[in-house]
Amino acid sequence: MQHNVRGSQYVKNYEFTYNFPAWGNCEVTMTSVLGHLTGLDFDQRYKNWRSCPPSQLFDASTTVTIDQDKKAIAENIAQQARWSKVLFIWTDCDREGEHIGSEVRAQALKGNSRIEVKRARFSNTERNHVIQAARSPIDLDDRQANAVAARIELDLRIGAAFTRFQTLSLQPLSPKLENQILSYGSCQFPTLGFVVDRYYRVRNFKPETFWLIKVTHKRDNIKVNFNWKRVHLFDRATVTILFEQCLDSKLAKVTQVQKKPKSKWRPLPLTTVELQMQGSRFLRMNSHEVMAVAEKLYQKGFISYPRTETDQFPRDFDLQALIRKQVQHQDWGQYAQGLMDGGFRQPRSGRNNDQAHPPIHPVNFVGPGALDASEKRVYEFVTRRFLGCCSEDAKGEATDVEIEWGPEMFHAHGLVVLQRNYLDVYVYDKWESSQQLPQFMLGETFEPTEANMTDGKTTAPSYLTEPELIGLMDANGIGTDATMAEHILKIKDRHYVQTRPKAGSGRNQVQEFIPTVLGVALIEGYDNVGLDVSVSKPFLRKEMELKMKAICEGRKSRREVVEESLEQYREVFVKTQRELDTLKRSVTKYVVNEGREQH
Amino acid sequence: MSTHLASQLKSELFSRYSLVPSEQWLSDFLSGSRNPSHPLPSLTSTAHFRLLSTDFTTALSRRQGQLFPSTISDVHTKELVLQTDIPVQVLDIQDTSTSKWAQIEAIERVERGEEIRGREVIRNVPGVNDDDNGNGGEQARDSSSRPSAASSSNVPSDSKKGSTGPHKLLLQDAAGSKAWAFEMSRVERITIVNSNPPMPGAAAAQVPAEGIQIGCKLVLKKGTKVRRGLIMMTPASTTIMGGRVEIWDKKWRDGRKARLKQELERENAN
Repeated sequence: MQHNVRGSQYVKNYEFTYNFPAWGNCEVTMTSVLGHLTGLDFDQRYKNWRSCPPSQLFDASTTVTIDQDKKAIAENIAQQARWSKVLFIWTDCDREGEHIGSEVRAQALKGNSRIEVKRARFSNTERNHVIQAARSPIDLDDRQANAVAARIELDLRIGAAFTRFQTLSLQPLSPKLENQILSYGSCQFPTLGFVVDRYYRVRNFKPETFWLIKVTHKRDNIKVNFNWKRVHLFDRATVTILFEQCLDSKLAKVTQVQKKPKSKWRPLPLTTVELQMQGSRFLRMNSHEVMAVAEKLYQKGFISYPRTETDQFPRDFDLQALIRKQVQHQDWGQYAQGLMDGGFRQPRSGRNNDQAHPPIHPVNFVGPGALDASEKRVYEFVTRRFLGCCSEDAKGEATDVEIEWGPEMFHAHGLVVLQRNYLDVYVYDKWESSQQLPQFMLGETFEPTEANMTDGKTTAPSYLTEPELIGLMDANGIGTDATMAEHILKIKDRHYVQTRPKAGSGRNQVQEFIPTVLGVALIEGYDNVGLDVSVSKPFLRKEMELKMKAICEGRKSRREVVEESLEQYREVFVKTQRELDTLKRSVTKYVVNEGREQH
Repeated sequence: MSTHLASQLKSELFSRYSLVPSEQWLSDFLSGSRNPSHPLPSLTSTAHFRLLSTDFTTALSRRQGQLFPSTISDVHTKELVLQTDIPVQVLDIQDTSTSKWAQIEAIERVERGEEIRGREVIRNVPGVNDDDNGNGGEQARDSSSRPSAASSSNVPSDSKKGSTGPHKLLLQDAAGSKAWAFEMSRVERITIVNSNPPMPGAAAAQVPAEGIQIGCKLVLKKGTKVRRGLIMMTPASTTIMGGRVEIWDKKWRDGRKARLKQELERENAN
């Protein structure tokens, strides 16, 4: 039975009966929310940008309000609560979801102050899983809700103070900035910082020549390339002298011959960061798109919850059942059958477990006909990855020969891939056999067929691509798996960066990030202000993320974290105010004068 | 001042450390010595210790057998072998394995405070670049010998631990003659460390840099080979005594980034 909710176009109330172990046979009304119910904002008198000095926003009073477009939904919840005994919350099981759950609870309590509140824990919408969750309600995790509340408050205060300050101060400098809000976000800026940093590294790069010794030897009609142990040196005279010593000593001697089994490891179970990184490399979609599609696939019940840091499957996870579901697939069904027939191997375990969700995996079979193009690509990636995890490593044999020629050491390496194993289903990894090496005996000596001294030049790094940017954000601890794609989107929206196709990326159309003059102006400006904890570097935000974690783990309270972080940023703010001219100079240099310094 | 003590000291310094101080230095040392009746071994140690921070061109004797042979830097001499132990001091040290650009970046990272614990910025993320021809479970760096393939995003070894070389050192003997030496096989203490700038607000005490510093003293042992004017250093043929000359080292360190930049400009102008 379905009822409309007055005032809301999308939300409906669904009625059914269900027998819960906890509460017996019940009449259930299921309804939904559209993201956060409430928002935090400053009191009315602070809302106008010119109403107070921005620095006051660090302490200004705030209120929690219900957004206008959510009022109907909120009212619906309060109403339903009036006639109910229990509120059973089924929001996504992550921090944001926990906070939204607490918002729903707050609303419900308004309607019925004595309502019992419970929460369902689930990681996918597969039938059995949902039923299990319905059977074992848990409590809302207030710590996580508080961590999010802290974040919301900090983002509001810090974001607003800096945004107002820099917009009001810098906008007048150029008509080009008219109507442009110069937004600040404690995560946006370090993200922009990475882009600008790489941009400068590329621009400042100067190539250098290096020299190396190349040795080749022909045997059994195979030309073997020996690589110099020193790889290359940047000093020509030295290499010349070393080379002469090699030549003087006519014969090379074989000092090591090793045949060793070599494996290329199957991939680790899939996390959100990996999905975004590899997704943007192989699927011709940016991270934001990948996540949106993954979200859809989850809601349709095809894959598990796509926001997870966990890269290990629990021991008792029924992987076989999941593999069995894929046997009917036209593309990898046969491979899946092979796994069921004995090719299965327990997946590797990574080091991360967020205790909330398992790694991303396919939950149900879905034929390609039922998915649109992008859904197909993402589902395929998730499934191939999953099947790859459950496979054997690829096996090969590597031969390594080391020779001593004069005072220098060289080595040759040959690889034969004997069993492709996981590579057959996880087509995104490459491992190729190189040329077979002829036989060499330990201790034998020979005169190398050919040897010369050659040179090369160093090449510049390239501009940041999206997978790299995600990798950097992850490695430097800024943004959570849920938010990284958003921050990247933000700096594009604010015209702090532009993207353009990477030269030579051909069919794959990888995008690279270039900062705009505005982006460069802001980052350079703040760097010049000389902040010991520059806002364009990750550590401030990384520390904030660590504090969020501390709230979740009960080590810090919400109030402590808010006070500490505000203190840090307030210092930064005060210093920035004092050095406003530095910021202005930077904007003038780049935005007004297009990079030319005014003297 | 006892000349007997002086000659005993001289003989000890030579037999233990291959050092022969100049007469002037010796007399200054013994007359300045607070308690000349110290036992000989401890006096010798003290003398040795002091010598480590001197300028060898004034503190050491210029006796034959303590100096570089005259043809040491001659490119036309294919090979020569040192006939005696030669004490020298380090005037310059270069890392031949790393591009200047990468070395400049490493210095700038320290300048920006990124080597301070908690402030590190990670700039290279493995596994994201296109040429992933991994040979084994971990992505081993495939040392390709295609001339144009080397990427300069090879980060030089962790600045805290110092460069691993091989290095080239500019050495000077007691007469002032200079010659270049190359670290043929790894000599542990030879490394360049970019020290952290002092923390803001911290006491002005300089954090002592590790690794080789300018003015460091070493002994090239008898039998050391020199090829085409380049001294070949190995752990067996070199004794690193340590020490430094503070003003030289500071000047060298302060000017290093500018020097690297200049050389880079020059190389690119050609």
